[in-house]
Amino acid sequence: MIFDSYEAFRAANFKPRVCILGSGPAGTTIARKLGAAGIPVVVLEAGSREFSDESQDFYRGTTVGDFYFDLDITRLRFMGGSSNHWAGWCRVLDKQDFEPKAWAPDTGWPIRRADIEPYLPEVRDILDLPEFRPDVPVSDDIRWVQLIKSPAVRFAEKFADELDKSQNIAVVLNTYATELAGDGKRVTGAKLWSNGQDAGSFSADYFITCTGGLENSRLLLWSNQRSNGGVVPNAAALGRYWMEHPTFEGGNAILANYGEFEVDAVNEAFFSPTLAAMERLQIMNFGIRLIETPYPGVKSLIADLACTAPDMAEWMSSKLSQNLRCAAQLYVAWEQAPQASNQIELSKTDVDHAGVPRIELHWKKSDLEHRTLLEGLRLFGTTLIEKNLGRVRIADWISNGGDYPTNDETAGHHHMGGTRMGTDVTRSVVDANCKVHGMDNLYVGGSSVFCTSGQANPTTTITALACRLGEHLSKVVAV
Amino acid sequence: MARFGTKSASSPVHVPFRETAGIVEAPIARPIMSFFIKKMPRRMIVQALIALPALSLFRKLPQADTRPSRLDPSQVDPNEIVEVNGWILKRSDLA
Repeated sequence: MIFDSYEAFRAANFKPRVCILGSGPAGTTIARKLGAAGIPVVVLEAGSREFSDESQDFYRGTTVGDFYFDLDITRLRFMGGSSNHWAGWCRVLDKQDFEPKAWAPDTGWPIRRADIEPYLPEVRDILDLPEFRPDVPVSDDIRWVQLIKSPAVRFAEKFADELDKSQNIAVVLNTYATELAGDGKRVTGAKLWSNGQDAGSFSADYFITCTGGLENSRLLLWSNQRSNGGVVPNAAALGRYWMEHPTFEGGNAILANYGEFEVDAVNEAFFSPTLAAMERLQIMNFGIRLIETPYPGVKSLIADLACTAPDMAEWMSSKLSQNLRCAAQLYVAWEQAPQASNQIELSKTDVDHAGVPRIELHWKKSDLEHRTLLEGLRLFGTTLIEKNLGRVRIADWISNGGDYPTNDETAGHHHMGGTRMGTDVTRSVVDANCKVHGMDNLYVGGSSVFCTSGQANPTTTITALACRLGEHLSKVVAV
Repeated sequence: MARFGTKSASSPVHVPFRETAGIVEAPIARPIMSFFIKKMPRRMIVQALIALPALSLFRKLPQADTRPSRLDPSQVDPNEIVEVNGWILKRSDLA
């Protein structure tokens, strides 16, 4: 069932046991799992069926620190959530991403990749993906990795029919849960805002916040402030350890033969470091995206090489005459080291139309990350030499330790952390089952539970974790 | 431009060279430049000017070679990885 207003939902007299906030990939997936298990569930979606400026305005906020996107354009507030502008790139976090790393504090998950692997066939069905393929070692340091460019499932489009026909799932649009109330053990209700006004309170046995990697923190920070710690009793890490995937053009490569690598339909290939290389260099994970360079770019690159290594340039030039596809741009996206100081705070001066403080995002890249970028490109360049595949040129600003450019990609619009998973209540917000520490009936879905970001786009892992949480809750709620 | 008398300013083919000619023309009052311009073919002067930026590359090269182990040519490893001007290369690439 899909209701366009909270009033229509109330009139239907549907009695859900579980209340999910948000209808993006996590919320929709958990709702479908619970619905399939015969558990009545309501999904409260703050936006409507379509994009609107009025709805997006609730997402405005400010950023302190490094340059970042406007917070009202980096995510979407309508049915289906940010899946509506998702590019569709899919890869599960690496096995090594879940492991603690001695050289990077606050890394390591309380679960392992093996804990989400059983859900990957289901994830493939949800996201319309082909088979996941294993990595291919290129050297001891570098591996070719599969990054699936999927058709980008829009969750509202794909599942609207199913949700509408479901007798166990009610999706209620235009209904914004502005805060949760709690007594330090249980969430007792949600305060709602609908059609531009206060719509009273709503209660259910269980609440799951799936409002996104920025909004989950905002909702819980505000709820906790209003309930004097009654919603997140252990709030030391709440809003903290927020992460992105910084993404910048890192340089170029001249390749002896572009065909040496498996490339996708648009002649792109992806590479990441091995765990051994990360350990040896004490760096984070990264992904190098190889993008074929247009012909004029190849010529200027070879001319540049000629100034430094004339014979090599001549050899490459001969390759160019044989095969026009011989150079590439290198874009690098990397794993941010978790830092408590990268955090979501509530604005002290600015509120949205419902009176909820807007987000003040504190975000800064660390020295470890700059080193990851530089050493990552060096690793890739060294691998190309060792395998006699080509040569790499690192962008000047990286070699010289310059500032990050502000006209580059900047980041992936991947919002992770803030309600991270863990066992230490001073450094995490939810446990291994995504249940808020100390609370009996409050869970969190989505990338805000990520402990570390890895280098892979998060939607695949978000969906796998949602399948796992849905299955867990099906058992818990059925008791 | 007319001073050199070799190219017609009105010819569209030579338009891109106007700025270069201007640069050569500007310091002509200085005696030393005047000497070179009189004694050397214009083509050679232009070639020398083009080559000037590349000279800095050669100044950088010895940086990689200043370590004691590199002073003895017999100890130089042609497969050693070096970074020059952002390029990650084998030492033998620099030959």
